[in-house]
Amino acid sequence: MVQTTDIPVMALKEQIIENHNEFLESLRHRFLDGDRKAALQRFENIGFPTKKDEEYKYTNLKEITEKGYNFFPKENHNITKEQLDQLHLGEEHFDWITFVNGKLHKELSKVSIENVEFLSFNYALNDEKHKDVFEKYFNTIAGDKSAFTNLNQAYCKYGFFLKVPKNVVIEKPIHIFYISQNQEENTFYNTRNLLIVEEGAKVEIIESHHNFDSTYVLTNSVTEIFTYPNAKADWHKLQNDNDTSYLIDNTFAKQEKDSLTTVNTFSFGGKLVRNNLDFIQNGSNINSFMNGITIIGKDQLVDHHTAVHHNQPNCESYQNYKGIFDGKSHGVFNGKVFVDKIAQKTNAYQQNNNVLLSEGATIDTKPQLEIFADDVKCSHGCTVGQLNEDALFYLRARGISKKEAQALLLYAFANDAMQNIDIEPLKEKISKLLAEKLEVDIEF
Amino acid sequence: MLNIKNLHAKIEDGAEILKGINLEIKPGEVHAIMGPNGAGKSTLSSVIAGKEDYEVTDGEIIFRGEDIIEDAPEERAHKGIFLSFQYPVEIPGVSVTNFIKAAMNENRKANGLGEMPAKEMLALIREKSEQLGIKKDFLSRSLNEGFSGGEKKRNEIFQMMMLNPKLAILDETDSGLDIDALRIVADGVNAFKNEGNAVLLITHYQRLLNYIQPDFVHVLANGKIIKTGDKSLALELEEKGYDWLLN
Repeated sequence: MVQTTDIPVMALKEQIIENHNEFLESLRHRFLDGDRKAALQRFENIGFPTKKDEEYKYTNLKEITEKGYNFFPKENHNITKEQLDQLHLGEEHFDWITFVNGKLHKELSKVSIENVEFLSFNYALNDEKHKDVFEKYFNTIAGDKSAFTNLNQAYCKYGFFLKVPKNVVIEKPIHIFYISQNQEENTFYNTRNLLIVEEGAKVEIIESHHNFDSTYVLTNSVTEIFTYPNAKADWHKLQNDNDTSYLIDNTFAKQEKDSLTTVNTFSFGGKLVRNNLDFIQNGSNINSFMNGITIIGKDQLVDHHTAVHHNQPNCESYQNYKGIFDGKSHGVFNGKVFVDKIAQKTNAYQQNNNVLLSEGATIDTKPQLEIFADDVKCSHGCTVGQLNEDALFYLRARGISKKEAQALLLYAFANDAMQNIDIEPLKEKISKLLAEKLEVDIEF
Repeated sequence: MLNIKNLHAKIEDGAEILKGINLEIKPGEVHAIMGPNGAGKSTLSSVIAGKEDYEVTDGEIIFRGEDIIEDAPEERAHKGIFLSFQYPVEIPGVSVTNFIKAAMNENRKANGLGEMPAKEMLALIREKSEQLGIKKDFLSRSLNEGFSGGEKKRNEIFQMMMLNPKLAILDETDSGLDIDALRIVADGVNAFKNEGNAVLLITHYQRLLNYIQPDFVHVLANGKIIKTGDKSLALELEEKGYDWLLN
């Protein structure tokens, strides 16, 4: 059945198809052209998901796909060091790499390694020495099934790239800033991150996106993380963008035996955020952690779709997602856990707890477990509730106002999703953002 | 200090629990309310502190000359009422120190004072916690999370000493305490006590009254105070139980 609403959806799709040649012409490297064209073709066949698609049943993308976007952001910007300071979590504890309007800016970056360009996806793409790395890793786990990953493969150019060599421990967490500024038109970014953590190596990444304009930014991001034996990778997403930002985040983590990978997602801002997070366990004794804190209001939407593939025995996965919804905001959580028949002694834990602060707020939460092994421990639970009245009374009886008492309890509610953060300034930042979102002036 | 007249209260949409309480507490006095389970002891303390689950259907609660029945719990706290809870609530992620700082400053703000300077606050925290034998690491733990019964109660008394209220209501503060903890808590209360404030002890057993000497002992049963005496009444209750009064 053809609906009239399908026509504008076609419009963005057509823009995507039309602009592709111009995009390819703009590239220095051309060895991926064939793959990019094939990906575009797949995107064309699949099309943007609609509400008829089971995976997008609760998340209507129409407001995104009905808009027109500029595919080639203007490079001019006037982001100052001072503006960047406002976004920092504390300079001395971090290295950082800054992209403005899709381009790496050295003068706004600081890394302990020799050349910040070594952290640029685009640099790696154009460097002959990295060709084998791309062949081995690029798009090997992002797959070719989803409209958004295909779209990203067709259009990706800028982003973060890092291969941490064997047994190297990167001391300072690296903060990746994606900034969009001075764009008079709505702008479309396809950011791409590739992180490879070799045997025994360790790294922590923080990623945040910032739209400085009142025009819309649509970011379709794909991140691939590979963690080798005894390696540890932590990736923290700080999603606190403005009201004219859309983010479709597609993150894939593949782990080899005895490795540990964490992806934390803190969603406070943005008009519409969809997180697609896939973990693939490809060895035994793997630990995978996924935590999320969502606090939104107004007419914001944050959607978490997670999938963990337990393919080998003796592995563990922990998912802990907390949501606080005010105004007319809408939360979605869908957590899939697949346990293969050989994945005995799997321990999979999944928890999604939500608090609704207003009558207009809604949450759709759905755990989905598919277990084919018989000796496993899988637990899941989801709750939707209001604040505990007795606890509120306790705090108010100490002289704390109702509003602040509520904030303290919500902080306590969200707190255990922060247990996996070992970067103190990040914890502090999240606590501050929580207070800000809850409109109280207290130190937790 | 506190003057309760003909107080009737019920659970919202439920049965009447307090059926005409009269109680007067003057500055410098310690009162104990004893009584069997289900008499309404905890309800009385909750109603004085302003818990919204209860509806006052008749009577007055006059605190320092003002009727406080319409006041929110935090407003009553700002005026100087403190309730030590029988079951303190666990607040993961909020340290004892940060919590008490927030509570102190909220109370100061409400009373027209600025925030207490950090240095002064820390010195006060140190003084009061040392008095109660509270260790330093305890103060950085999450409020009440994983605390033993004794630690919770000691923490309640610590908060009382920090906030320095006019009227402290201690609801079953002795329950769940071993003899050493009981002594420390009682020492805290005795140190807090002065001519300008008052203490209302709510207890099921006489035990606590060995350590904190009450000026008056009231027996609460079936929503009413049925007998008032001095501390010897508590000993009599210990010996005979409540039945002789109920018949």
